[in-house]
Amino acid sequence: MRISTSMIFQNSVTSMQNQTSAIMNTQQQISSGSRMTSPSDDPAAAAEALQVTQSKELNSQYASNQSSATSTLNLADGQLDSVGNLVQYVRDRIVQASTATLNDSDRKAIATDLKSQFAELVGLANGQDGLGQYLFSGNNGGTQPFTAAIAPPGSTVVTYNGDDGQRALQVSNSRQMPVNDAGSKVFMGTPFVQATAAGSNSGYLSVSAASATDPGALTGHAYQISLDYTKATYQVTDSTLSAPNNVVASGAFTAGAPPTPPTQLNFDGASITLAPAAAPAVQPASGTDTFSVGTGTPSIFDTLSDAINALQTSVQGNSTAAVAQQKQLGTALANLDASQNSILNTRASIGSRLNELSALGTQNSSLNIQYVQILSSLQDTDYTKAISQLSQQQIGLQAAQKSFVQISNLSLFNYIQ
Amino acid sequence: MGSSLISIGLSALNAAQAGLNTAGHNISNAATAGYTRQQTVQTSSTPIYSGGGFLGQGTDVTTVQRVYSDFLTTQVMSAQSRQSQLSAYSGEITKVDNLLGDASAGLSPALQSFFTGVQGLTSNPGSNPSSIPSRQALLSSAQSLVSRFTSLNDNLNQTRDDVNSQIQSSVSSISAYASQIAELNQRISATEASGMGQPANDLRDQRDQLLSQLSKQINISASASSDGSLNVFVGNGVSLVLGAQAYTMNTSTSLSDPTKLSIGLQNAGGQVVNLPDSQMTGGTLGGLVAFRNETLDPAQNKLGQLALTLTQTFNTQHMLGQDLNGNMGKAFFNLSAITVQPSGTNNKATSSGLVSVSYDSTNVGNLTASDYQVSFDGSAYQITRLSDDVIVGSTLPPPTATAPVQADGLTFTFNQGTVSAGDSFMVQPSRNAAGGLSVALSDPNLIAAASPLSASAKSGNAGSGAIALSSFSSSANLPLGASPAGDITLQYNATSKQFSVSGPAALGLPATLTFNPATQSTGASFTFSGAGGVSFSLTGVPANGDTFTLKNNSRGSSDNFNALALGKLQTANIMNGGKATFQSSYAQLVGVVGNTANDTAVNLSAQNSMVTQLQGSQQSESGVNLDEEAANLIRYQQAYQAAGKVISVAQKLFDQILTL
Repeated sequence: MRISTSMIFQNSVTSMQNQTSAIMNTQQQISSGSRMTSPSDDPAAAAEALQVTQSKELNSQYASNQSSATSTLNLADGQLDSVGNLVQYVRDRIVQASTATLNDSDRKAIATDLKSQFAELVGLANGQDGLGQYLFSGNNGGTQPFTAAIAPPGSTVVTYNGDDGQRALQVSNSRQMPVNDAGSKVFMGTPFVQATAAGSNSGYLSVSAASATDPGALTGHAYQISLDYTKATYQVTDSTLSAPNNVVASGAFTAGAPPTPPTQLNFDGASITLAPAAAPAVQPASGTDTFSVGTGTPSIFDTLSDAINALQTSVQGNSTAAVAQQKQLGTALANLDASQNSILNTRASIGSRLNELSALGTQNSSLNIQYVQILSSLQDTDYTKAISQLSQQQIGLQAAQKSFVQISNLSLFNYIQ
Repeated sequence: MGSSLISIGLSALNAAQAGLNTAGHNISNAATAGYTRQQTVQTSSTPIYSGGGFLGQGTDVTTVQRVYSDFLTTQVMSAQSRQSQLSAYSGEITKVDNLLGDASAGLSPALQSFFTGVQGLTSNPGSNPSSIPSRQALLSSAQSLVSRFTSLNDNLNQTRDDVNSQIQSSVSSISAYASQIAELNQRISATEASGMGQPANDLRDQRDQLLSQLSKQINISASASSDGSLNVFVGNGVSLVLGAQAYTMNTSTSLSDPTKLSIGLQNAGGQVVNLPDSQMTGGTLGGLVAFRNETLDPAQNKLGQLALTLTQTFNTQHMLGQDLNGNMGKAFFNLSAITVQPSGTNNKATSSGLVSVSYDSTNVGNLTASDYQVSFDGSAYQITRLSDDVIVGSTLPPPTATAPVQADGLTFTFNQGTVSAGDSFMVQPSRNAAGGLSVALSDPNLIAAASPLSASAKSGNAGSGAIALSSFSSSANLPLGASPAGDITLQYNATSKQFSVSGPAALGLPATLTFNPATQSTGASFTFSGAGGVSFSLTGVPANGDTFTLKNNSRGSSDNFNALALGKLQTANIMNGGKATFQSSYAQLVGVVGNTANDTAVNLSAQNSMVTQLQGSQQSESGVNLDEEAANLIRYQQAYQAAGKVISVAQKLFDQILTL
């Protein structure tokens, strides 16, 4: 084939330029550690790397959310641990106070101790996290959740200023982990009173209101109200006790023509209002109407306040008062157990969340390793390959340079004399 | 006899001289660009008849010709044209490719850090002093996201300016080459006419060289005419050079898109004929136009689409939350308005303000990266999506029809006015959207991290029923009226298994909600569309008379309900009609540009070797080989010496006769 002289030069220069640029490219891969200098080097890998980078970043974001959730939950758990110990201590003191050998002043001394426990309890329930947010006020983190003071039975002991909100953190792609527990669920008990008329009732009376007038005295027991129209008597029985000790309230109908049944029944901190049906209802002359009553348990503050009040009452020489005091202390013990249960339930739930967080944390770190590996395989330079490629390219360029110098010396003109 | 031999010797001497001259000419032009080697063509002279047969009369140099293959030259030119196209395309797309894919300057890190800011807010949303840094951090990461969008957009605009100026310089060099070719046409036809039809080899070389330069700017076709001049055509047969007449190519602002240069050809009458982009194939100009249409516009639109969708989705969610002052959230980002560009052919006095376009915030996910053209055909408006030429909506002009047209996440509003058949309007919702962003909030307290409502069970509830908020879909009637009059209360009736709902009449609440814990053990979800579309779930077993309340979240300062929802946007499939996340959409953009850049680079490298091969074939035919010329020198030198000897023999023969 005929070759033109300029082509010899041009082709050699072009090929040396190509080899130099290939060497530059390999050198860049080695010095930057990255296989791709721009996405066009491997568009599919570049796009995938962007996705994996987001997953990796998200993963580390989840890790940081997990540690934040863990520390908040640990804080609340520690706080509830102290509350549990306090409740246990209070319980022991009340058991001690129930002993018959103690006198009024002994019990007043215990009451004084319990007053300081009450203050400590309020302090614990109003605990704050490291950022100054209240731990148990739901979403109202800036509001002190509990205002509580010891008060006589029937008046307000505690007000909850928080809400029921539960804040969550995104701790994995699909899991939002609740990181706080509202004080209303933990400390406030379930101080409800609910009354329902039996289906077989004459229909003359219905329940117009049911409420807790002294939440601290609520027992959580079920009661039955029976109205005997034949005998014109009523009685309220505690279904957890057996006769004849089960009557908590009883009496006769108010005299009159027609005789009127009691409209308000007060027992064990509960108050039920019964109202005759609209006129012209007539009271039946005979038969029995029954109403079943359910009650809940009070807040821990109410329980404690009522127990302190009971302990402060002087009962020496007054057997009726002494019996009443014993009953009040017994109710307080039962209610303390209910509160302790609620605290333990919350702690169990926190514990399971902490467990889950720890499992997520493990998963998180192994995912992170995976992402790093994927990213590395997508982006990183294979040094062995790159370095061997570099030496190969160097040899190629050197050979091209050397042969070019030799070929360019070949000319017939060298021999024309 | 002797004089005959002398004249034969002389003709040989002349022929050898011509051969030496041609070899010398070849040697001296060995490095001249576009030079085609020449060779002398010798034929033996007409012989004279003598009785003994025809006696040769020496040699004639009939012509000096170029060793030239029209076929190979045309092939080299068209290969070079494609090579320049790919090279221009590749040079430009590399900039975009590097810009988008840069690990630190691309969008990806800013997007990530923005959502990290949102997550920071979820862990610390409160009103206490320590939460202000996390709110401030979100604002500054939003600011850096916006400036990243803006700077990417600025860079793309700069690339656009760069491309436009290169198009202008390419167009002016095309005009310059055209006029030089026309001038050479004239000289060649004049020279050849005066040279008895002998080819003007060196002028033709010069013209071929200009054609080759021209073909590097744009794909051309050429046809020779009988007088030796060449006619040059561009596109699908538009004349650039006709004999000695060259036409001027020039650029002007596109009538439909003011950021775009359109290319025209000034014909003999001085009128400018616009050449559509589809005719700009090959060469640097073709590469630049293709880059602009196939990569730059789509990439910038796509970036704009991403910016629009991200900020609008974020705004929408942010406006469903409550800020630290207890007010509903405001727009987090500001967007620039969509400009509607009336076509330059419209009646300017009447056509401005006829069409206005805004974003349809409820269908943000349907936004596309396309431009739209609104055209009026005399009876109705038609909205065409230009990416695939699909008509997405049409309407009669007002006052006949007054309702706006909604399509692809946009709302087209038509105003009353004088519109003429053929009027059209260019709408580019996403083109500069990434550049028109700003952060609307500056007060950290105005970040709406909380839920506007709080849901709670009444403290005296006897059952285990619980209520939890799920989401909000609008800000209708939010916040509610002051508590307790504005509260929404649900009271359970265990007999009818229904909640009776009470609340302000304006909310249009349903009277009852049916909930049967026995069959709906996992709970049930309900929505009140009149109260911000609040969705909530009820679980557990409520007792008769149990009450649940939805009310203003007046003290929910540490609530992160809305911040969580904002954080979820990062992984939600929102883009492209709910098929892609923000990051995957961006990755798609990087992938598409990267693929095109890669394709172009691969094609360019293939084209480079093709050009090298074709040039090799062409040079193998037409190029000067110095060894060959050295051999020719020796050959003609010897021929010259031999011819001299012939003359010398003739002289000796004559002397012989004289000495007789």
